[in-house]
Amino acid sequence: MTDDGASVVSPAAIGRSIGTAARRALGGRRFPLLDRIAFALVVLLVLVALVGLFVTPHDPFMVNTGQAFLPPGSGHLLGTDNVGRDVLSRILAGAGRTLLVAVAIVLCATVIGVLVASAAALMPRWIDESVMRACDICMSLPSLVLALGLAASLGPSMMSIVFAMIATSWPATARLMRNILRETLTSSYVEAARTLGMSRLRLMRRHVLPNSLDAIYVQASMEISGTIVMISGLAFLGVGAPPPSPDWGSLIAQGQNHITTAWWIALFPGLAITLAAIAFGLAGDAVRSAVDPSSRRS
Amino acid sequence: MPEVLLRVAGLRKRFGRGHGVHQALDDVSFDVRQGEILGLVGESGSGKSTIIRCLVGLEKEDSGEITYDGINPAAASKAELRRYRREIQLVFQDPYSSLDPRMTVGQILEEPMLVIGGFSARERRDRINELIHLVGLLPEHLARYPRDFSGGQRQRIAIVRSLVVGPRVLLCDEPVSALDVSVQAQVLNLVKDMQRRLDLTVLFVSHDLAVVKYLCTRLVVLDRGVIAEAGDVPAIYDDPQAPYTRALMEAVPLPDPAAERARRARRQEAAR
Repeated sequence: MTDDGASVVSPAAIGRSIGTAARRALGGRRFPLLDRIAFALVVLLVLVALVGLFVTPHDPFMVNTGQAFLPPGSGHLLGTDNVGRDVLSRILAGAGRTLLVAVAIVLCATVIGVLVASAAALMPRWIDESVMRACDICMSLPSLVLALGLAASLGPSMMSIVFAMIATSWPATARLMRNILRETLTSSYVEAARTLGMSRLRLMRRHVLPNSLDAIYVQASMEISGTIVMISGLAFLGVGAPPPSPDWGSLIAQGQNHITTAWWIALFPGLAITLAAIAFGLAGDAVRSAVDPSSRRS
Repeated sequence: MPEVLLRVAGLRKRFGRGHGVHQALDDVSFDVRQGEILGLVGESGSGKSTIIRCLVGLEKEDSGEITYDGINPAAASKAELRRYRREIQLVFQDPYSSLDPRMTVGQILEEPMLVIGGFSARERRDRINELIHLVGLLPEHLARYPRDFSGGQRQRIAIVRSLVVGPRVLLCDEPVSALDVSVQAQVLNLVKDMQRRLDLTVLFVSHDLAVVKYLCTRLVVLDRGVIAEAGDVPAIYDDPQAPYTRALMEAVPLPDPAAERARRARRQEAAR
C-alpha cells in the first residue's frame, strides 16, 4: 500500500459488491434507481467516516490563529474556523464520531429490544404484560428531555449520549417486536411445530425469530437517520464530548457565535447532518419496500 | 366391531370469563375406531376445531379425558407422550399459513422426524422420498419454498409432513376448505388413498356434508359445543333424527335445479 492513498479497488466496485451481497440477503430482489443511490450514499458515508477517523487533508485539531476565519476556497476547501482549524478536516474527522456512533446506538437498542421482547414472549403472561406496560411508560416520556437529563447527570461525554440514546430507544423496538412475535406465535406453522412437542427456545430460534425479524430490520434502518439528528442535537446542546471534539453537533455549536460573519463554520456541518439523515432515511425506505410483502415477488 | 383407538370422554372447554364467557365444548364424548374415517360436522363456532386443538395439546380442556391406545396425554410419561405425539398427527386447515415460508420443502418435511427423534439421516431421506412419490410430488420440489407451490400442492406437502413420522391417527381440520373447488377432490382422494395404504384412522372435521358423505363411514354432528347426533353415515343421511342435522342437510344445495326449486318452494310454503 502506498502513501498517496491510491487504491486498487475502486469505490464503485465496492458499492457493486455490497449491492450484490445485500440483494442476496434480501432474497434476490432488484432495487429501483433511487434505492440504489441511497445505498451507495450510505456506503460512501460509512467509508468516509471510517477513513476520516485516521486520515484527513489537514490535522483537524491543529490550532493556527494566523489562519482563522479563512473563507472557503484556496488551501481550505470549506474554510477555517475561529482558531484556524480546517472545517473540511473537522467534518471528516467528526463523521465517524457521528455516523458510526448512531449506527452503534441503533444496533445496541435493537438487540436489547429484540432480546427483551423475546424473553417477555416466553414468560408467563403477567410478566409479559408488565414488561410491555413499562415500555409504554418509557415511550410516553419525551425522549429528548429524558436523554438530556440522563446525559447531563452522567457528565459531558460521547458515552453519556450513547447511553442515554440506547436507554430511550430500545422500548420502541421491544414493543414492535412483541406485537410481531405475538402474531407469529399464533400462526399455523408455529402451532404445527408445537404439536410435535418442540421446546420453546428451539421454536423461537427455528420458526418465530426468522419470521419476525423483517420488520425489525426496517425499524432499525429507519431509526438511524433520526438518531443521527438526535445525537447531533444533544451534542449541540453541550451534553456530548467537550471541545475540541469534532462531532457534527459540536461543530455547529462552535460555529453558531460566528454565524453572521463566518457562516461556513456552522453551515457545512449542518449540510453534512442533512445529507446523512436523508441518505440513511432513503436507505431505510428502500429496506422497507424490499421487505414489505406487498412489494414482494416470488 | 373394530376396537376403539381414540376416546374422548366428557370434554368441556370454555373461553373467556365473566360476561364474555363462551362454552366452546360441553360434555362431548365420542369414540374413534381403528381404521375408520370419522366425520366431525358442524357450523363454524360449533367447537369442531377446539376438539382437534385439545387432542394435539394446543388447548387444555377444562375437564374430560382423552384416551389413545391406553395413553392419557394429560397424565402421560415422557415416553408415552412422545408416542402419542408421533402417532397422532394433524393436517391444518390453511396450507398457506401452515408451512414456514422461510424453510424449504425438504426442511419442512424433515422437521417432525428431527423433533420427535429416533430417525437416522438415511431413514429421514428415505421416508420423505417414499411419501412425496405417493402424493405426486417430485424430488426437485424439496429444494423449493412453499411460495413456489399452489394451494393443492401445499396441502399435499402438509399431508406428507404429517405422515413422515408414521402416525396411526390423522386429524384433518377442514383440510380442503381453503382450497379451490377444482383441487378439493384431489386432496380428498389423497386422504382416502393414504388412509387405505397406510392403514390410518382418520378424524375428519368439516362443515361440508357432501364431503363427509363421500369420505366417512361414521359421523358426529356438533351443535354449539354439544353433540346433536352420532351414527353411521348412511343411516343419518337417510333419516336424520336431530332437528339440527336436518337443518344442516337442508342447507346443502341440490345439484338438480328443478329439485332445488321444488325444495325452496316447499320451504317457503312451510314458512307461511
